[in-house]
Amino acid sequence: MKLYMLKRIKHWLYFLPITGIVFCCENFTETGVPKTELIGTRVYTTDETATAAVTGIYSRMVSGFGGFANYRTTLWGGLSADELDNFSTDMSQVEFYENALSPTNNFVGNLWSEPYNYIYHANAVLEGLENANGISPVIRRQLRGEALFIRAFCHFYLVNWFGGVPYITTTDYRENSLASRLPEAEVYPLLIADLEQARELLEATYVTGERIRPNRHTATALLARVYLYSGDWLNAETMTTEVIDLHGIYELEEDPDKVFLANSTEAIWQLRPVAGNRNTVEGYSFILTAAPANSALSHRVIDAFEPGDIRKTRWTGSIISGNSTYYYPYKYKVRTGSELSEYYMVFRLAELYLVRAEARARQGNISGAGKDLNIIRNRAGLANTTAATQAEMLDAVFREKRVEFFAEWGHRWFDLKRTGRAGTVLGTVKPGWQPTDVLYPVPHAEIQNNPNMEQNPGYE
Amino acid sequence: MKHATLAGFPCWCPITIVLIFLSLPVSLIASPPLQSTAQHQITGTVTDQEGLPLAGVNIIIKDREAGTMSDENGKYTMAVQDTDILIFSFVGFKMQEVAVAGKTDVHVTMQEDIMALEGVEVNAGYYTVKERERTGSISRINAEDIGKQPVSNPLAAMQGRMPGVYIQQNTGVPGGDFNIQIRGRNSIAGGNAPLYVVDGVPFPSEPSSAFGNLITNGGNSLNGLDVNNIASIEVLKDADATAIYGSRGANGVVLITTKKGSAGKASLDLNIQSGTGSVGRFMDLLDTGQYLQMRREAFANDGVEPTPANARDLLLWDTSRYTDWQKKLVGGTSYLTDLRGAVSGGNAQTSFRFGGGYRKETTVFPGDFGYRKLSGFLNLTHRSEDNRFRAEVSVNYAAEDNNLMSRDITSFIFLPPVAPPVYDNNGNLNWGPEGGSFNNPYSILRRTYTTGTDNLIGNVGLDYEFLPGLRAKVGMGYTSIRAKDVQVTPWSSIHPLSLSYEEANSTFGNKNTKTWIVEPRLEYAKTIGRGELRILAGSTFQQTKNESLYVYASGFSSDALLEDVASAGTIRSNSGYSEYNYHAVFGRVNFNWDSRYILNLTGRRDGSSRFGPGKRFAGFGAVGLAWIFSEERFLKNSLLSFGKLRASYGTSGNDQIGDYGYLDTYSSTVPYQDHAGLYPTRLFNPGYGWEVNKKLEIALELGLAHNRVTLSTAWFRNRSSNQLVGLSLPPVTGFSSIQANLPALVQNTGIEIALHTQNIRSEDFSWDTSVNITIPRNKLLEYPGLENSGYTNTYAIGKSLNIRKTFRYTGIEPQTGIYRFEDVNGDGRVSYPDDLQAIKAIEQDFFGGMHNSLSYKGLQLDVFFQFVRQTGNTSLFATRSVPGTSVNQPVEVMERWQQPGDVSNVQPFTQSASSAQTIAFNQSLFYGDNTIGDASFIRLKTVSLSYTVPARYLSGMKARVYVQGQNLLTITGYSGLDPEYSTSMRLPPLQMLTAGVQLTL
Repeated sequence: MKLYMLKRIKHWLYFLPITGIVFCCENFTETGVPKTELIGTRVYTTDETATAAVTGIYSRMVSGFGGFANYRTTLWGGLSADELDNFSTDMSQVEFYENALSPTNNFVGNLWSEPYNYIYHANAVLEGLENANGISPVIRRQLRGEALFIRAFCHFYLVNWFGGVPYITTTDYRENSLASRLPEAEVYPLLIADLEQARELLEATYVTGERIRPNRHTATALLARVYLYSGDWLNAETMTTEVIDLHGIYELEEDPDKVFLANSTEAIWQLRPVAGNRNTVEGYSFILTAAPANSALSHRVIDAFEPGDIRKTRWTGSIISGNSTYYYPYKYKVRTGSELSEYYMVFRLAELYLVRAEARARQGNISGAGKDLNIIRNRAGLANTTAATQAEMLDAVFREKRVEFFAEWGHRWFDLKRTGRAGTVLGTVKPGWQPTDVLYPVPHAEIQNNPNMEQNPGYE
Repeated sequence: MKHATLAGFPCWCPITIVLIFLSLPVSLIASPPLQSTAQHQITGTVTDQEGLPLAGVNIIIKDREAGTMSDENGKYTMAVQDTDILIFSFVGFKMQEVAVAGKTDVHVTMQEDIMALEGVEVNAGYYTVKERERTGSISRINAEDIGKQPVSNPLAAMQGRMPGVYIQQNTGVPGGDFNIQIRGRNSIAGGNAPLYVVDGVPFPSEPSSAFGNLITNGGNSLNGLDVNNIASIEVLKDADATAIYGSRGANGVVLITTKKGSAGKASLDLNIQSGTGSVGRFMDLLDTGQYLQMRREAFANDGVEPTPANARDLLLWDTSRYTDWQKKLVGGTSYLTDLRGAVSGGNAQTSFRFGGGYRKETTVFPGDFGYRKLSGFLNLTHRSEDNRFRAEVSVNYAAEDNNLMSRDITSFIFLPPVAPPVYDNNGNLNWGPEGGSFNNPYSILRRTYTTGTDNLIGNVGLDYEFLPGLRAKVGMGYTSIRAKDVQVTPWSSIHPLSLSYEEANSTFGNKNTKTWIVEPRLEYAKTIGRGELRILAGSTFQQTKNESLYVYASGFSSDALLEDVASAGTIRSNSGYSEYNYHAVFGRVNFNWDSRYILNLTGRRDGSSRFGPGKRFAGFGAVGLAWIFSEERFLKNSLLSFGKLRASYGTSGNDQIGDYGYLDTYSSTVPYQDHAGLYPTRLFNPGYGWEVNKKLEIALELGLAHNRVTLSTAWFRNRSSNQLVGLSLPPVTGFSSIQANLPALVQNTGIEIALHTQNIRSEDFSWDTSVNITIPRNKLLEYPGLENSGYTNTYAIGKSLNIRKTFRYTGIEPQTGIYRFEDVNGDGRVSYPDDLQAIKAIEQDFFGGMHNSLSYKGLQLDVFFQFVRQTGNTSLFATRSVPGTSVNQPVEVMERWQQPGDVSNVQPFTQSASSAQTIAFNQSLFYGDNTIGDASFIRLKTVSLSYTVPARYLSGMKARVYVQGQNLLTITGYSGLDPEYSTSMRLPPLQMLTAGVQLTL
């Protein structure tokens, strides 16, 4: 009997190792990390990989055939305003030109999702650096500064395209997917806070020698613009002065043909192209070799140049096809070619002169404003301004900005909007113009998936 | 054998132990009283119908526990009494009873039993089960069924033959892809492929080629198997059969078993087969006259004057030409050669089988393209004399070499019949007269795509009986699949006008998938009274590693250097790596009471590295019940020879999503300045788990008139929940979706019927028929938040997953001849997505096959029809170009609308990209329900006629000659190239005709 029991137990003993396996080997389902990818926690362990996580943002901004920070802001701003004429049959593009955007427009969708994706990326860098150990303090400061700058940079464009937007500061999708819109007035202080912090963290020098990663002055330049857009004239002036006074580092190029060259002395921040067979997308897309199929420079821009303005001959081109002459922006002169001579300009010194001119004029400093304005006019081969009153001076600054910054980063569209002149200017040249067209619609995908998101007026 | 004498004694009775030792005397006591006639020796030989000796035949004395086996020469010797009746049995042969009646030698010729329902052991993966006693749903084909078809992929051999298994051949190009769905589509976004297991080793279902190429539709991993070395394919369908595969069993399991050696004199089997293949059906396309009429009418309708720019075909090309592009491009003949040989033999303890095969298929395309497969295999099995130890080794290897072009030129059959000749007078590619450029399809022939794969599957099985009834087993396996693809675009294949932006380039791909698996297990069998208990417990450790490298090279100076990466001016590359670890424990308890009541419990707990920590492990299980009611006394000796009711319910899972989905990973960007940057590719998301499939089945199996008629009817209902889908996120999160489980519920129900009849069975002539039919239904039962998800325009609650949401076509506008669609929201225009209110499915209503097998003496004829009732894309839109443009069209377009009052489904011709016809045509093409129509067909899938030369003419050698046909006839109302795959223009499955000889020495 006992023997039998023993034997029976022995029988079952054979099953023991198997039951043992259940509990001992759960670790077996742990895999190594994928060799062709890095997992988040590993990225922030060395200076090199952490730096790569930041330069990855610039690479993505400038790669491909146009994103929000690569041609598209220029294109959409130009079409929505009165700078570019549309020749594309793509309805999604036609909608920009006709100021008749729909929330399902895929380009509007990208204009929203792409900066938010970079914001996620920047927040991931900030959170990664927060918990990182093996990063040297100098690199950590630099990278945090860049990430904060990028976060502000992206939010700046979002708030100007769409009005009040959520200001995203975490990577947690559960929290973010319920984010609601802040009023514009609440977005600006957050932009300013991020940029002030970035200014503290970033060095005055460029980390790689080239002007392709933001330094402290880049943050200052954006901050100056932010103050200007939010009506803080004094701070706008202070910020611009800080950069303009740095003679030696930044100087206007005397020759307009040299402004957009790689590391030109006027450049505050440029994106270095990464595609092999061309320089900038704008050079590739705008320069016409045949009748336009996408866009061309509006005659309104051509007509806006004063006689003798050398920018008209240096920065615009034309082509005759059939009986028509088509104009195109010619700031970038390289259409194709793998040798890199032009970088994609994001911030340049000329803007700061015009920001300060406006800020001074707003504060009643007409002569100071005129001085700044004339620096830009003289470079263009024009005589000093004749504006004498504040109103005249402001008008002169806006006119100047239009011809200095045409087809560049949507300056014209944003200036028309923020100064309240969009309706009067565009209402006359754009059939079907509605006052609500100054804001783009919040994309359908956002409205659909975020219960707290509200649509802009005119698009409900 | 001894424990069998204990029938009637409960096992838990301690006396059992004593009885084991006493069993021999007990059995003697239990046996009938000794007759006065003494025992005498009897000898004999057992042979098959061909007169060849059969080894291993079981010979037992009826009602007594004595028996023996035939040796390798088919001979046996045993002690018998005159009154004894001998029972001869052998798997695959009919059992025979022979009375001794004083004879001293009894020679028996065993008759093959094609429907050996009682004896067939079905492979259920971790265990085998007698066909009659199985509780689960398992369909099976064997080597014989496969051998009658000149196919290269096992899935092709299964087509139409298994109820519940829908297989679609996606292209007739050798090495091409197949789709398989076992009991419908379960997963909305995850994989729907079954788990493939070859000799116990999981085999990947992803295509083996390194980069998916359009011409083969990515290819199919099972092409890497030697179809002629397959002994059987079992498909596990219900919960009872699949739950033991746990998280991988949701979409069914396909078990492939390779051939083993058999005891007996070593024999050499040689098989030589060759034949031809061609496209069986062509479309009726416009001839030159009709084409020119269409074009000129299109210009007239549009009020546009033809110019060299918009009508090069009319003005620059020679309009007197006529080329039948179908004949020119896919009208060739493909040649097939298949050679194979195997040596097998052994004795009662050890047997072996080794051999190899070579298969070569050319294509129907012009030019030197083709597919070759070289295979080798080895199998060794050994068991110790006392049968306590068994070992088995098998190695299967196949090297494929597929030489094709970069895309299927079947898509060029719609070239205008007036298009210029493909070569100019100097024998160079003709790009058309000046300004009359011609997109020459022969340029594609120069863009070659070659793919080579090496497939190795090795496994070792060890099995030891520790104690009576208790066996320990371990299976160890390894598969390695290496694929190397090269695709080149030479300068000479580029249109001269495209040279400003296109350049010669090559793409190289390497992919390497390695899997190893170790599965220790224990099996215990015990007889308890009239019951039999079987217990199985085991564990799985599996690891799969995937490595890939992809290189795009350009900047070559010469076409001769295209396959040399070092000669490239510019190189872009991309690499991939993933690792999948899998671990499980599984078990089975089977209790069979008196061969009447059977209970089968299976379960598995498994863990997969594809899920995040805390979500990796889950349990699956099933209950299977069977009642063989024909064994009940009240039905004994009735017309009903076999009757079984079975049912099963249980769960299995699906983990077919990518690896590492839960990690927050960073990938490399294009270098910024000098160094590659990094960017986050995924949100950190540890919170998702398996899809769970709950399967219910009820089946009735009947055998009538000594099983001459068998009928099996099954009803199933599978419900797949916890669906792994990409859940849409608002873009402020930085991402558009995240992998998540949704409580969406997909249901597949269906009825499967299989009928087999032995119509005639006589000495010389037999005729068998089997028919199977499956009526599947798919339904999306629940999807919380469907309206707000990315699937809102794809799926609808209560409808199948195979639907399209479409505009409802309401006919042609009588006054203008333009297609009209229903404006559901009444806003005055037909717009996406609001007017997508019509729902049409592209799916099968029912499918099945009918097989007739006739044999007369050595002559055997098999005829197999496959039938499918389904919907597909109609041929009127196959060109994807509006009739009237410079694209040839089906002749149906001549029935166009011409004047008010005409009734037609073809709009007036147009050549303008902005005409009302074009807009309406494109609406149809993308959203119209008028592109969906009937694509049902009946196909004479297989005809096989063979003649076995009587052994007496060949002095012991066996010879068989045969002819085989595949896809010989297709009966269909579908007017496109082929109804089987109608969604885009691909080479249809070929019509094959082959002849061969099989010699067994």
